[in-house]
Amino acid sequence: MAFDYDKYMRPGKLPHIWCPGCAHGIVMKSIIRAIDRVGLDKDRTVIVSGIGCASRMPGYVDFNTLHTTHGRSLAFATGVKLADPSLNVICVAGDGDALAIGGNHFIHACRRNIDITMVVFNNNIYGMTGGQFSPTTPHGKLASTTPYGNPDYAFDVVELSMGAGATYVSRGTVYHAVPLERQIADGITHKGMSVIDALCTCPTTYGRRNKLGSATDMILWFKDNTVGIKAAERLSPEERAEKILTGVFRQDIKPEYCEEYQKIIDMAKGA
Amino acid sequence: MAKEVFYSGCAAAAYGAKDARVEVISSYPIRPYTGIMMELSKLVANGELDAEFVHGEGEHAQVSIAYGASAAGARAYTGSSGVGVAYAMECYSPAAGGRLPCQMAIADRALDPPGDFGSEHTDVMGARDQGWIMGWAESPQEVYDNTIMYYRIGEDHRVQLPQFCCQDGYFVSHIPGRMKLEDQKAVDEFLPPYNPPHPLDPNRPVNHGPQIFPDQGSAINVQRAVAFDEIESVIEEVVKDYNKQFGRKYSPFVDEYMMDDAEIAFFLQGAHARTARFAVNHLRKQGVKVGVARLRFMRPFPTKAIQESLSKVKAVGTVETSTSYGGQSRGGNIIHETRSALYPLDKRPIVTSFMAGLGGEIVTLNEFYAMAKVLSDAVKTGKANDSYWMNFEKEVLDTHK
Repeated sequence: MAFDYDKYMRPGKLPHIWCPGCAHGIVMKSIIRAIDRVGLDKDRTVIVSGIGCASRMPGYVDFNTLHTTHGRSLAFATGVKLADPSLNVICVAGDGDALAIGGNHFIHACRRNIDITMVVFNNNIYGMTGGQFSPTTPHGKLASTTPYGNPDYAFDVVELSMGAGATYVSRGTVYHAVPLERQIADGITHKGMSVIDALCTCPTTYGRRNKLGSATDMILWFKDNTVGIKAAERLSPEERAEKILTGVFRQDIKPEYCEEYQKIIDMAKGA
Repeated sequence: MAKEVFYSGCAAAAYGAKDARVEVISSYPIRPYTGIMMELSKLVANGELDAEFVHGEGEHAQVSIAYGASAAGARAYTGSSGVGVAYAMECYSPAAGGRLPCQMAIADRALDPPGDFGSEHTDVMGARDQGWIMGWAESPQEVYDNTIMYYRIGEDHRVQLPQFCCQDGYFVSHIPGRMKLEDQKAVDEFLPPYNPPHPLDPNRPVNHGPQIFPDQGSAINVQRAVAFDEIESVIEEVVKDYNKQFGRKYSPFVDEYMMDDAEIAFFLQGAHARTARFAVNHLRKQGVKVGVARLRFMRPFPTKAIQESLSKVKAVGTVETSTSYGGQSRGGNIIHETRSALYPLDKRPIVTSFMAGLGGEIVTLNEFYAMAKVLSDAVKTGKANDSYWMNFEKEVLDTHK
């Protein structure tokens, strides 16, 4: 039987605002299937977002949802999680939201290892505001504000998250929707900060300008240009350099922030 | 050569900045300001404007970049809208206290909630007491002109203050109007290159933003206040020069329409003044003696010019397009300072306020007619409420009937 998305949606909030060909819906569906797979209680699950195309997602899904200020989903989510650590807290954010205006909150949430799952809808551009370059726009690529190519170098979301201390870090793509769903599910069950770099596409403001073909071509590009980290071991360093690595990069067990916080409370009360 | 064009307020701001020869531009996308940065990025990319164009990683960084550029002696330009303006709040006092005359274009937008992208003055009105020059334009032409004039006012060594150069989001920022771009040479003559009194310079080291002790704080505050004592005469000078050089007819502080024989007046800033003038034309045909006084500067608040203009009438309605929740009037905030400005006069008009144009709604002709009715009644009865929330107040709804 086909998966029943309606169980998790707010049908009255549709149609969504995403452009034709936008792959955000694939990430959204992966999140929904992941939640279903893990079996989270809808009423004990909070989805938090900031501002931007990706951040519209919480409006469409039937959980406790919080649409906040630009870049600050993780800060609001930290408040939610600390107030009631028994809640399942998931953040969704675009690359500009998560890593530019929200970059500070991003690294500190990773550092604290708080039990939140952050899904970055990484489409390399500020889509909603008209295709300005973002912290994940690759060097040299065109954006509306870099008509001769982007002089900046992009963040690698995986490296950044690991460097900052997140304990579950993975990268998936919208072509590989089933592995992406599995990663998100693992991220949810993981105790600690989980970051899923969900490579996504924006045909409207990024693809067209960079002549990346149709919306479908852009999704198929991931098939040919990404490789799982295990399979990558069989490639030569030159071959590997041309591919984007996907898979689970880190899955560590380290003390989680809310639990550590509770220990302090218990200790202080006991003293 | 001067050139006739058909530009939106966003393009007008960008071309104003270009003709002002800004040297550093810091940007971050947010509607409706985005239109300004997009136009500027094109001008820089096409080689039409020799400036550094930087993306901040948020509005806070954006205004910080403008601060840094200005401290280094550059003519710096930035801008934002709505929540972006609010996010950069921490940077406003340092820029004004540091006496750094950078300019921030504001295409205003309602704050969250309602988060509806509509025009409202609430965003930057929240920053009005930080020591920045601030005023609204009502047309793309005025946006262009103000951009150039504000730099000369702000960079004047008697002033040395940053400027919020404001326009109504969408109503001005996204509606094109016929306007004139002035000849670059003439603009250069009007606005010479920025001559910073204390730029960061390795050969002559200075310190911006020093750590001070409480007993030194008030002296710095007084300096900023003194700048606002000087500023009105500088503005008069600059506006007069601009009018002369480019054939404009701006009055420095209050733009009047049919005020000479008026009994009642709408007092407001920004684009809604245009609708107000249409309403006045109609009401005048019906024998209502009504005029419009449009405020061109919120900061400095031009007390003397307001006294001169509004003392001509018997009742004034400030048309507020921003909110002052819990404030004295329980409505907007222009009324508070307007009443204060008129208080010392022996003969002063009744002042009330109208909450309209909120969340991006247009202020319709019908609303202006209803306001005129309230003001005319106030003249007869000698009484009026502190504020009327248009379309939500029983008194106002009754006048619609």
